[in-house]
Amino acid sequence: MSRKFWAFLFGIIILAEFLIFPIAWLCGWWLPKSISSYSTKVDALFFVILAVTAIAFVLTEAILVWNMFRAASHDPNEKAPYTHGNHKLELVWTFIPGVLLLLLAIVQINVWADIKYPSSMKPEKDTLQIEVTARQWEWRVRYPGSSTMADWKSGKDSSYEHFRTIGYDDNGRFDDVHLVNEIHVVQGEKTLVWLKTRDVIHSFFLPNVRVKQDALPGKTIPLWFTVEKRDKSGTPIESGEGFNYNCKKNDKGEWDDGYDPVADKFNEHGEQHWDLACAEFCGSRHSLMRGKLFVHKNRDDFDAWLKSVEEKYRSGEDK
Amino acid sequence: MSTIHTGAAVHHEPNFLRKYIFSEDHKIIGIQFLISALIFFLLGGGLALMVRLQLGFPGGNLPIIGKMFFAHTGGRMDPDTYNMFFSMHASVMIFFVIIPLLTGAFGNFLIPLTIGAPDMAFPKLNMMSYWFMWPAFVVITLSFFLPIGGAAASGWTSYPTIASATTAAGHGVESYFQAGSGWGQIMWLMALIFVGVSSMMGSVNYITTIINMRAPGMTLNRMPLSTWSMFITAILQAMALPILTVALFLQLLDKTCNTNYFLPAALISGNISTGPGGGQPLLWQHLFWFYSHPAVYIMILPAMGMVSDIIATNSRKPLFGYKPMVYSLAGIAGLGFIVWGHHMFQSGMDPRLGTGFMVATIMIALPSAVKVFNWLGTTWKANIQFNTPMLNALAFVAMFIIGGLSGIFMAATPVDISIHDTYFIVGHLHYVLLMSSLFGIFGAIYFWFPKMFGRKMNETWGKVHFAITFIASNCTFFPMHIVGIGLQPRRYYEPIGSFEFTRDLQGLNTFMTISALILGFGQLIFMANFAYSLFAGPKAGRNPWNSNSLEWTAPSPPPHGNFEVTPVVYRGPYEYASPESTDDYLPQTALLDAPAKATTPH
Repeated sequence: MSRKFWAFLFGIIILAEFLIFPIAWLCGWWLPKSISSYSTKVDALFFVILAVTAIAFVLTEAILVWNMFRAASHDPNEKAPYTHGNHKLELVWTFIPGVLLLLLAIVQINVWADIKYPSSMKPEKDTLQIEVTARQWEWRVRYPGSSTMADWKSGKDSSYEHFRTIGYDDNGRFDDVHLVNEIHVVQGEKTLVWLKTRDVIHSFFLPNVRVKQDALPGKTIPLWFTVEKRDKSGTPIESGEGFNYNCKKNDKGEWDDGYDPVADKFNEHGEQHWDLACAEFCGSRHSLMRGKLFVHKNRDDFDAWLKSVEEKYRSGEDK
Repeated sequence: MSTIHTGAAVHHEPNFLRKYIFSEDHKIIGIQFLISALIFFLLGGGLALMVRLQLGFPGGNLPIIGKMFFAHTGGRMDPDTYNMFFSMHASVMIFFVIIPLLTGAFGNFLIPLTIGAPDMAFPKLNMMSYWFMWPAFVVITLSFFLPIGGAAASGWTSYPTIASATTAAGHGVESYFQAGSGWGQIMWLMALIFVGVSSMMGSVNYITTIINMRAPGMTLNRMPLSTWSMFITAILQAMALPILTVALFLQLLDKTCNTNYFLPAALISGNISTGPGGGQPLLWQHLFWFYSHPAVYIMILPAMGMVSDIIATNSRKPLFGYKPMVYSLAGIAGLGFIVWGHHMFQSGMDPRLGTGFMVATIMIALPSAVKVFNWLGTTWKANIQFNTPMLNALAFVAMFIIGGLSGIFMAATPVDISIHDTYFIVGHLHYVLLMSSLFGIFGAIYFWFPKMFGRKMNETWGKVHFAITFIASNCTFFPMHIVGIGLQPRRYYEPIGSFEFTRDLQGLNTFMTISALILGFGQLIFMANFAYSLFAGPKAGRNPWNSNSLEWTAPSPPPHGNFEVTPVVYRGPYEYASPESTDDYLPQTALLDAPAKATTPH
């Protein structure tokens, strides 16, 4: 077999791996649409790293393939140059990548701090706070009832701590609203999530929002996000339309366990919401632990929806 | 020149049992590790193919094997079996294949030979280090046949609480959280403790041997890079392993004695509270990754060292930048101890800690880059011999570049938010572990096989195996980056399912599965070549590759005691194309009468 064959084999594989990126982008095998205030920053950093690594990739692989190609087209008995290295070259290729990597490290510190540092998790008067408790295999979401909302609006500081301080198994306030697998937020407004779990580690993953945070047994972990885009088609969510199909109580008045994928009606509304997934392995139905993110067009719409759900509970309709 | 006679001449021949089974000879122990690990490689590979079958053909009747293995469910793999497959695939490949192959097989075989020693410093300890693997082999194999729950299925990371919770005191070790987290998990923990003890015995032996038993003239700076890498790896292992062992024991106590080291209070498992709590699941992650991140380097550094030797030999050119290569090995090992937190960016660890870990992680790319540049420097204008070991070594370099570059994405904390626990990381780790380490291992097997068994492996079939492995593994693992950019989560039984964001990715998954099957069955060529060449390969002389380092001056295979006379070393191991010699190589032991002048201008 010709010795050049191996240089070509390496070259073709490397070239294909370079070209698959534009192809993937054209085919839509790409980052899911980004909808939150910081998802564009995360994606921008991704593209910066993609560009830097692409250049490094092409340069190094090209030299390797060229070296193979050159050797294959030379006499196999030719004596190679006798050299043990080059001090200057070592300095250059240590220093330049070192500076580049350090710059790469520095530019991302603020984005990370903005998204994850505790200083971003301080609730304010207008912040919508919700509690999300993961369990095998569903997301239990608790919304503030009208009394809590009124306290927040009046600026009663202590009430801001409501979801942070209570345990997932505490009763909380009498009018807290419980839903399963549904996250409702308001477009353009900051949402603060107090993340808890009652059994194993789960991870709260909103792919389009670029949110990922593990839920850790024994801890309450805050996370925040602001959704800027509402939904793909622009179909408005009608006031009072809550899709809490999976939220049932049994005869004893306890919440029903489990999740029945056959009864999953989410897809009927496929155009109106975004995916919520679990990203940390959590057992048999890890991949079925899905929820939906609903984005309301404004606070009034959200309030009306919440009120209608609350009323439904009072009247016992939700059974 | 005075020579010291080794014990070989006066040593009486041991019986079969002492020579091949309970051997104290480092070469036999190395070969024992090699053969055991290759058998587990078949098991680990089979498990990987099962995982890929489910991902490529989800939900339906699995092609061919469906009715064979999953008859009771109509050919459909159930989720707990799938979870067991991916958990055990990783556990087997890491603890029973890659680490034993690199440090057990090649560490044992190469260290005394490359430094000119008759054997390891502690031959009995060396024998024990192999035989302590056997309880692990037996326990991990038996765990597949457990009637309840089966083998461990909580991921190779075995995060509490899913792996370690028990139902409640007095209710047995099974929990409702995950099948396989009862006896399967306990056996997993026991097996890993034995592997750890074995590795620890190996490490102290390697360190002592390299420090104390080098031949006259073999200074540290004349050691081949494979020996340097084994040395640094052994130090890494000796420092990191105690932490893993402690963590494993604590989880074992959690499981068997309800100690709750990693369990917080009031977890709810099937409506029963699990125990008094007081523990912290994050503690396990810190302890586990404090070992398991250095373990990533334990699984790549020896391959880097061996590849450096193969590349220099087959480039017929001195290794470019010997000292930078050693420093960068040490740099990777040193930095490797302060980057474990990058596995935990999204874990609930204080995010401000993440910033520190991010900077350290980004900077570890630097010594890796230096290594790549020096390999490119070595092959620059080189007289490359396109034999099977060299092709595998070149593939190592080409693939390590990809694995190294894709690591930068995860190191960047904000980008990690998107791609953490997606297929991007699966692609990255397979480019480092399979595409790099395994190509390094294949190269090393083809390269040192003549020294191990006195026969060469078949070149033609070696090249066929290489071409199939190279193409199929790239087709299997590169698209993982693409579905990873599509944010397809890992460890999903049904990644496509009814999710909106992954709906276009099934085609790529099926393509990867078909490639993986070709890759898997391609390894049978290697196995056949290995087995055939053991008995019928062409005889190799002492130095079939015209290499410089000491092992090539010993007979093939070397007898008990390795060298007829203790070698004396005059120079470094990479004097290829030297003007002092008329050949294009100059062994470390060659004694030149007078400094020869280059007579022919090149």
